[in-house]
Amino acid sequence: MKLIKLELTKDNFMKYIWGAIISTVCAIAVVALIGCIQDEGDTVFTSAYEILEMGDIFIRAIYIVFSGVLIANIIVGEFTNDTIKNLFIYPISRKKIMASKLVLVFMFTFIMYVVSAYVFYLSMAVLNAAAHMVPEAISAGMMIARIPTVLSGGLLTAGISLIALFFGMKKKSISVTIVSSVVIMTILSNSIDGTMSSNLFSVTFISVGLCLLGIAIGVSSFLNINKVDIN
Amino acid sequence: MKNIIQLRNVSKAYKGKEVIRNVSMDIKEGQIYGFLGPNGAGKTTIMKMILNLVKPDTGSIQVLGEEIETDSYKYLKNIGSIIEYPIFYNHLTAYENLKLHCEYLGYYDYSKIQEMLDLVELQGVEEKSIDKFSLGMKQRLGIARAMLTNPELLVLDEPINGLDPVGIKQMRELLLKLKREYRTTILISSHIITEIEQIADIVGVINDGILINEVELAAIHKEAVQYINIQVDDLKKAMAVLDFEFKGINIKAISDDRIRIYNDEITKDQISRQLILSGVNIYEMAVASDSLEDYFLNIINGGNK
Repeated sequence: MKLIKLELTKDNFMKYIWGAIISTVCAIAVVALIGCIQDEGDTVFTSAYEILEMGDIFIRAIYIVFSGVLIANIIVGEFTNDTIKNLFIYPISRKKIMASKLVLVFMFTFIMYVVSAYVFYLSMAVLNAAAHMVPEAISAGMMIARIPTVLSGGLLTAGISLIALFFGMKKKSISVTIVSSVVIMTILSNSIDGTMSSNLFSVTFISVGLCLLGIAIGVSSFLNINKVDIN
Repeated sequence: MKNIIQLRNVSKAYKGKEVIRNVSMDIKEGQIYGFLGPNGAGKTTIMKMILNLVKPDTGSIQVLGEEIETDSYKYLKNIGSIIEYPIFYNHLTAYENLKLHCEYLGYYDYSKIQEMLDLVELQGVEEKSIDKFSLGMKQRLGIARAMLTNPELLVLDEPINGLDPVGIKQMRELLLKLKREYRTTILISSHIITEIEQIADIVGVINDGILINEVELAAIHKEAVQYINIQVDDLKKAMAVLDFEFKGINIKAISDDRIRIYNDEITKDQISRQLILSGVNIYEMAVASDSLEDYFLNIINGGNK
């Protein structure tokens, strides 16, 4: 716990929070704009459910990359700019140091994901009331009903985004980490058959499988850390 | 005196190339051990092994009485170090970096930070971020950080890189003071001989991953510095005579007609008398002195053959 606190003092986390706020606002704006398109009276979204679903896709995409940036700076960055040498000569087990970093990335991504999702839902409820993107209102009940979806979405996103760690550590490169997280995001978010809700992420066994893979990568990264030579 | 660092038959290879070959060494409490060798000789690798950053392929290492395993880390509490070059979090200030260091070590006497910054003469830059530091300043800050928690053992890899002459002198005085007042054991590496000879008690010469020689500086001063060069007409005969007359004498033929004698007990007169009595003609005879530098270069070149 104390190690996580020290990690927080090392990097300026406000910049990540600002990044998250800006991208969430962008997601809100884009979805709202799409929602306002009207073609001979037809709107793009046919139900409130679709708007919220669209929001999930955006937020998920944002946080896979967001987490990629965190991994790049907090974990891979320590190796590329050699500060890991400082850390590993402290009387602290390497495993604990790595674990605290992973927990930090995972928790931060998860919490920000959930917060963002609900900020998005609330904004959409307000915007919809004003602009009537869909005939029905986005009610509090709908939002509450989505709690399990959002929580599981957050967990899956935080897990899947750890896959980028594998590529980043392999190449010991910040840009590889971020690029690989963008690639993962693109693959997962693309529509399979042209409808909005059918992307790879929505196939449960793929997302759960990838999440487990991500967590396995995270765990293996600190299981082997004691044997690694730091040059 | 107990051993603070003890290496036994340590070897290490990277991608099939041996960088450390069967090195054994002992560093005793309160000693300043100078590690001397050209760039790439293996000094840094050995230091990294002592800090458990790099794991040896074979052999064993004991530091502060503890056997180093792949997952050892507790002993690091008592070691201050600079490896290769001092590394900091560049966007943080000097003070923040040292504070972070304290927190990781579980050391909460923050007043010591200012004290150390003063000691290495880095006043007034506490709030400057490391981005703006010169190499010399980083080196000073690195030294401050290494010494901050009063470790029993200091491992300093090329600590005077980037320091100006004044800084080098201060550094030397600082290390001698630590040894004197706190009995801190210091392992210091350098490829600059003159710098090592001024502070070290023992010098370990390393080249190509082999610890070629370990010598006490006091002994070298005595043995190596003076020698006598003689030019004679019959080299073989002269060698035989000297060898016979002065048992165990250290003589070396340096060319077809020149002999070099390393000894400070036998005088020129004794030598010339013996040679002349045996019918060897002397053309020239002179006492010369080797610098310590030549001595070490000899050792290193000898190791190459």
